[in-house]
Amino acid sequence: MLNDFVRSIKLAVWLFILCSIIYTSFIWGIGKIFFPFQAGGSIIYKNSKPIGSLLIGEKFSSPYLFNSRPSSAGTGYQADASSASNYGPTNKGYIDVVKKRIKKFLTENKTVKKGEVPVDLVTGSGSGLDPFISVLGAFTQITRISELTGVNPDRLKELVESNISYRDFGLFGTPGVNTVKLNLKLAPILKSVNPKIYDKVFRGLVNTGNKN
Amino acid sequence: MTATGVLQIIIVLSAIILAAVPLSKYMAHIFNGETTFLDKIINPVENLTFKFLKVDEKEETGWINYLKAGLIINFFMLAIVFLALRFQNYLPFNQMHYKGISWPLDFNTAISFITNTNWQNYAGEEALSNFSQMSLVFLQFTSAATGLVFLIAFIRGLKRTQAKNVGNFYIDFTKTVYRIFIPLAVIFAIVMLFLGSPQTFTMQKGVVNMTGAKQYLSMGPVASMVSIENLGTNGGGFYNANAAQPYENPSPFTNALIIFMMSVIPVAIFFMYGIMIGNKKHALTLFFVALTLLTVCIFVVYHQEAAGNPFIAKLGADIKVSKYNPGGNMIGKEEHIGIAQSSLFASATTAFTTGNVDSAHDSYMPLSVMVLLGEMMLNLIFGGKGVGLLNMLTMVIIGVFIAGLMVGRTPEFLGKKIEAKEVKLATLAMFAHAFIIIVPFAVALSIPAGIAGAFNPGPHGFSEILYAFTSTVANNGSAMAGFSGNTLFYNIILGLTLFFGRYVPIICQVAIAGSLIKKKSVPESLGTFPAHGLLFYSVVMGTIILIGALTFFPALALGPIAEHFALMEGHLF
Repeated sequence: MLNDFVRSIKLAVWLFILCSIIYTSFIWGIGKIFFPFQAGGSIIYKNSKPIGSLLIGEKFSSPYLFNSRPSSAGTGYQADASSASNYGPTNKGYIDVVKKRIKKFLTENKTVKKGEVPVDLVTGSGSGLDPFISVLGAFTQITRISELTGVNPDRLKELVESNISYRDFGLFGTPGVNTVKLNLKLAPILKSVNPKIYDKVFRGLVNTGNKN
Repeated sequence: MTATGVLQIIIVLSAIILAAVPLSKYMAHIFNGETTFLDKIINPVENLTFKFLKVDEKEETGWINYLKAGLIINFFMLAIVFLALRFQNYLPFNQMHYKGISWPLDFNTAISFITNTNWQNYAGEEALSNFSQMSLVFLQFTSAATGLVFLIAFIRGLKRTQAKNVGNFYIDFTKTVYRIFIPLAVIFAIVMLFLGSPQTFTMQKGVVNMTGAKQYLSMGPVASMVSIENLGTNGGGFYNANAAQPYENPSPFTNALIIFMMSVIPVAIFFMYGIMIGNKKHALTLFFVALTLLTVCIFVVYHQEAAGNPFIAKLGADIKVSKYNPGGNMIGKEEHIGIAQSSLFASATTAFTTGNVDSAHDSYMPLSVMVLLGEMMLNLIFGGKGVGLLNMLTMVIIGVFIAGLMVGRTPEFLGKKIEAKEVKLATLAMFAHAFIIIVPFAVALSIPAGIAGAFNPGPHGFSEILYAFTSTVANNGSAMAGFSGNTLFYNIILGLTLFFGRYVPIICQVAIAGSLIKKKSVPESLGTFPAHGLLFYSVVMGTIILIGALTFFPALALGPIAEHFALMEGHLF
């Protein structure tokens, strides 16, 4: 019995050092040397300032932008508080929330008919940080953005089409559009067509631009 | 359901089964003490460890000492992590100055990780320092190894005749960590890194988004955790949203890869069992029992989720799947990962008792929830490291016993007579599993502190509480996460269900091994009930369905089934 205690303590302490510290540090070293971009969180830089991550969604609720999905992460796309809404399918509170979202979407996007509202745009994701919306979700927002900003709808359509993330290896997942990438590509177009609105909605880019 | 969706599921499952074949051979070599291709690298380290522990490689013990050694080291590992979390404010890698974890939450969390469950009453990125996360990684290695070595003891109990010793715990345990989990964890951590998971000691990075909003990106040693949390069927993720958080699961391909990681070892264990006892047909029959159940579960969930929520359709949302619209029940799911991958993930995580989630199980359709609950209640559809097959074999013993009663012969299993002692222990193991779910659940439902855990109203809330008890006892760890478990009542009661749910069945099962190993082998005769083939398949399947259905059907009827009919009738809560 005493023998078991001594062996157990020795083995437990050694495995703690091996599995927690050595293992984690080894993978950290590999990341540092071979994959610094991924290891650091896939951060996007603009004018040498970090403006977000390629993988983490952002709150795009302005009608001038391609909107992201509703979010339950903190105050909405709060990247240090991932969370789903956890609403059950027969929860009246949930149905009421979706009702409001659909109503808002239909008022903002006059050309979309009831029954055609993309389901992903009115339901939250599992993390509250989903950067993706469905391709349909991006297409249905084109008319609105075009009317509000004056950007040619064909140009927007082209922009969406060139930014579709298809299934991985043509097989895994569902096609979608990364709103972080998409809106970042929308920025220069908006800047040339409608600088006033650009200054208003891309405040993060404007500020960094001025400082440099 | 779409053709691409079905194809994705079939391809992932096929990849798992194909990869499990060579892995099973490798694992059988390890536990049979044969040479493997990694010997040159690992032997020196292993020998040093054995010298350090003063373990003689030829030393073997009986089942009681084997079990005792396992339980003692489990206790010390639990203590180390309990202290690391409790005093994380004095330990390194805590730039956010998170406080030490309060004792009830720490009690729950430490037990949750030592039992291979990884039930999380905390939000990872909001409560734990990076050092605490790394301490949990330690238990993700060792708890998986613990389950696996107890299975090895059981298999030796079946195989050896008129013997006493089941092996040496320290040797089996060290070999499992060194030769299975560390090599695989390193490989997959690097793959996950390459595919986008962060690996840094920084806890947060502040950025100003293009819209001018401030965002704090939570990071840490994520890649190293993602690999072992899935390979070890632990499931405790770095983040509150687990694998729904894009850093933990950056793309649809990593989603498939995570499913692969959590499934490949449990499937390989079934094949390894066949090699070790020298009866591949028998193991293959059990494999088909588990595969049948898994396939049915996957497609029920996929069908339900793809069909979506009729209420949302009525309000004006387009839930029909088309080329550019994923449709279906998208709430709580990541768009790019989609319905098929999420459904497969949910079924796999409950079958393989991983408990990692890539979508919000709380927002699943009622019948999907029923299936996920059912998978955890049975707890033998491949199951976690070792314990899944142990539970399957427990059910086999009961099945063989029932079949023996029907024909009026002393039941035999793989040449060993199954007698009163084994049947009693098997029944106890199975009964304990059900008892520890249902009784504390009933207690929780009858007091305000228990009811307060539910987030959603109506039968869905009932399902949430049932899910919490089932998940902890089955050592799964997934949650219907609206459930609020971080209260004194739930931290303690779930800590206890975690503990007893893990150790009571394991003790019974190792005791069965201790009883079987003493028996002599009965030669096969014409009257021997074959342990393979269609008849055996039907007996095992029948036992599983009969016992599972009888035990848990009432609880399922009041939760998910009631909710399903309410939904059909257009009734909201």
